[in-house]
Amino acid sequence: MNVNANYMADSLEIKEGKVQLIGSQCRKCNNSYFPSRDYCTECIGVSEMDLIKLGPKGVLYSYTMVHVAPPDFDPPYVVGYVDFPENVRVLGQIEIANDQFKELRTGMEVSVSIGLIRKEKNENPSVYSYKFIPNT
Amino acid sequence: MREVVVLGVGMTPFQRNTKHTFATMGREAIFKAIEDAQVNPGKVEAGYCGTVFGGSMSGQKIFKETGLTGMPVINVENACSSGSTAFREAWLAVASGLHDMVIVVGAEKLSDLGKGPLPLQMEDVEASQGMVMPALYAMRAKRYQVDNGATDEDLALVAVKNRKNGSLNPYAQFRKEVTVDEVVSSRMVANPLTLYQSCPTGDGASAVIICDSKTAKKYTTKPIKLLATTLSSGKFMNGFRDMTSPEITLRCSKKAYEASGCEPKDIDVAEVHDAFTIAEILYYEALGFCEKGEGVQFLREGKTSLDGSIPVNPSGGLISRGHPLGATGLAQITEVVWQLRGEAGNRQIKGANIGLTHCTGGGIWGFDHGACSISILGR
Repeated sequence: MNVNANYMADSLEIKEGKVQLIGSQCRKCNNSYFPSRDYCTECIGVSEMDLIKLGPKGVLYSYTMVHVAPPDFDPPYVVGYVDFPENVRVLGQIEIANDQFKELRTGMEVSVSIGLIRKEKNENPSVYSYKFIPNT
Repeated sequence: MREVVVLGVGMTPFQRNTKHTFATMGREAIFKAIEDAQVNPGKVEAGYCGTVFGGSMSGQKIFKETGLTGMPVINVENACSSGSTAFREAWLAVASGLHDMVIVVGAEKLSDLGKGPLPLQMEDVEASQGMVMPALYAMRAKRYQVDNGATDEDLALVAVKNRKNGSLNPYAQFRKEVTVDEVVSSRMVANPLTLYQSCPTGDGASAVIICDSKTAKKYTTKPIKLLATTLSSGKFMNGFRDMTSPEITLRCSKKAYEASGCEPKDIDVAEVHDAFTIAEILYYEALGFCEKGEGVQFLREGKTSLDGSIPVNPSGGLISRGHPLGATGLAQITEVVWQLRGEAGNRQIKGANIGLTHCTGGGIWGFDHGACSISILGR
């Protein structure tokens, strides 16, 4: 991990080089969320939430390589939905060389990392945030 | 609630780079609907307008061009379901007795936005990470392929069918047939979905006039009855969910079937929201035309072709007719009305008595989709 996140950094914990996503959980119904939120959408109204760490490992539910993207992004890049054991699904980019795309499989285990999600472009600075790395 | 019928329908051809303005496009659709209904425009008591990018006071801008001013005008935005949601509000006004006759228009001029996928709001957690609508559908497609063994060529069959239907529709943006090979080898948008498997952006407008069935007797002996029109919004889920099971469509169709007293087997023709090829297959299953996981087989057997047991998207659907967001829901109603009246030309389905329209969309993280509206019409 050679870079720091400058986007959604509050949703990440980095300890001894390992990255974990931080979500939240409702004390009353135990429903979990990512990103963390102040209110539980199941209990509606006043709710008490605790911050929780997800994973650290998740399972890839589905994925795609995006070839046509909004102006601030730099296609092609790979995105996927990852399911964490706390019953939270998170969308993120997958850190993988484009020629390795064929190696991805639904159901494979992934870890969380920090990486570049948007290059410096249109006078906007580079954006670093969470990314998923397939465990091989 | 009173019985509501469709008196008149009209639409502009869907195309890119129309010479019309947003307002004159809407006017053309409205004048066609008035002519079709053969009503005195002065009888129209209220106007509804569905659009996403039409801007503030979009309905007033359009109705001003027609001379229909001073009446209540209600502007509706609900992403891809904007037109169909406006239609649902119009139905409610007539069914409840508030108005006897109202007009609904949907219009969109997407050429003004340039090419490429439509922008999502960067405040959205997923959009900020690089999510786009084609990627969402692509991940549904990937998962469907894994779960059900569907191939890229299977998905392409939807585009082949809808382009064929569109070739018979003078209002369609794409009028040229394509082969499976051309579809799978066209430019990749988001694996496994290629350009020809994606609906185009474009310009267009459509309008529909509805009234109560008693008023309708003055104008027609063959009204098209609105058996049900229902609206649902997405249910937020942050956890695991089966992306091949479009939950908002399942809930909305259950309400529509209950309200109309129809079952899936009663439907003779359907216009569904094929924003991308995979979507149409998922909706065969969610609308109950076939069992879950059997959508591809259903398609392969030609059940949803023009001469099949339940023709889907005879207009060419979003993939071929085009998808000027706010206009789509009303273009679907227009197509089904033409089919039920027997006015659909070369793409006419013989003896169609009951038709269904399905319009869903809106990319917000945590939702299957933001909105869904379904109508069932009968003659």
